[in-house]
Amino acid sequence: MLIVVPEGGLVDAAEFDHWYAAAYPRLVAQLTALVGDRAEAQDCVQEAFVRAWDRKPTLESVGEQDAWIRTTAYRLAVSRWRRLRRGRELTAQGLRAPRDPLADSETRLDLLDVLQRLPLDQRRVIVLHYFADRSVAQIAAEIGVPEGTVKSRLHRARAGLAGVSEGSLR
Amino acid sequence: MSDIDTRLRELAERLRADPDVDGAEVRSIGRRRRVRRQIAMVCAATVVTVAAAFGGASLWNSPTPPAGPQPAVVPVWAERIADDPQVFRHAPGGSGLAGATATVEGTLAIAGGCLVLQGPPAESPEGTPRVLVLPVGATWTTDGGGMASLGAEGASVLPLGTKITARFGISERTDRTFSDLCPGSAGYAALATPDAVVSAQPPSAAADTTTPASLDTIPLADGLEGAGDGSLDKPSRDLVGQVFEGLGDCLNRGT
Repeated sequence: MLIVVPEGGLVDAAEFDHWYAAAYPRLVAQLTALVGDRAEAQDCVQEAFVRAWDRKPTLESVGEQDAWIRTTAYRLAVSRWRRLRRGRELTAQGLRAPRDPLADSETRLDLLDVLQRLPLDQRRVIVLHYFADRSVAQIAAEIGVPEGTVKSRLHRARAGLAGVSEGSLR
Repeated sequence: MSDIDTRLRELAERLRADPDVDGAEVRSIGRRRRVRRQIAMVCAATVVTVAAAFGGASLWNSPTPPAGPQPAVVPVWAERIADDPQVFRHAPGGSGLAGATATVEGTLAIAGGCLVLQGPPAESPEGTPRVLVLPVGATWTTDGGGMASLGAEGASVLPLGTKITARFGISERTDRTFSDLCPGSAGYAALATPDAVVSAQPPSAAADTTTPASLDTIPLADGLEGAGDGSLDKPSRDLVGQVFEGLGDCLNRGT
């Protein structure tokens, strides 16, 4: 049984450009929240878009284009981080070594810093839920875990964020 | 909406950033890459396919070189394969490979952007899907008896939803590489040889609502190049020469 994926695809240049211009800012925001570094996020999201155009059949078969970019950019960031880790000692909790809040010279913490202290799986569901406006069911499908797992991660993440005094956030 | 909800949504707005380059430039980069890849695939995909059919598939599943005499001279075509990062995605060896082989029954699926073998329900919700490690350029067909084989010419495509029973080397949680890169997966299932496939039952037309996927367009290996302990690097020229030794004549005959 042979089934051939048609070449050429459904996305033409104009559609791609429109999608890129609209989606890039929000996807950079999402990946920045995930990895804690905007420049890194911009690099990875742009590279993901290059691959999206390069591999149009894959993009169309997946269907949810933003999710494809998000997943690919995330993998790129993880891959870069692993390469960096060989040369440097970085924390396994995130793509960037978080600062110790007690050692921080400022008493008011940025929410982005607080996010980086969450475990990666919890951070990911927070980003998908609040930054990408994905439902629990959609998050479960995107990251491949049961809905109950998504709910519990969301609950723990929110509890973790609430654990930081809201007065200390700026 | 709580205060933390509001702050998270405000942060999402604050972190937005406009692109440095426009869509036309992004497309231009992607187009150039596609041309380069197509040229490379013409040179090497046939070699990979034939080699896999003759047992060369063990290459990416073997952390140690196979026993046997060392070739005095590495063939030119072996060098070409080893130099082409699009052809081989070297599966992790060393600590990442448990070594045990088990018969696994699963359904081909895509989860988190990865090609996975979705097994029957397990106790752990994360213990079921396993990333299916195949070389880019591998081709699959299924004959009337439901058997699958690597190496036939034709479209490098297999339908999602195919039920596969095969003997796979299974890596459990010796590291988190694949679990992190392919969320929801547990380790990976690496096909050792074409004979490892016991049966492959394509999905019925009525039940097949998924989109067929091409192996060489599934983003399985995008994030795997630098993962793990460094064992994901492409194979050395010497290793390629050892594994494919003796296949040069077959290639010359075009078989």
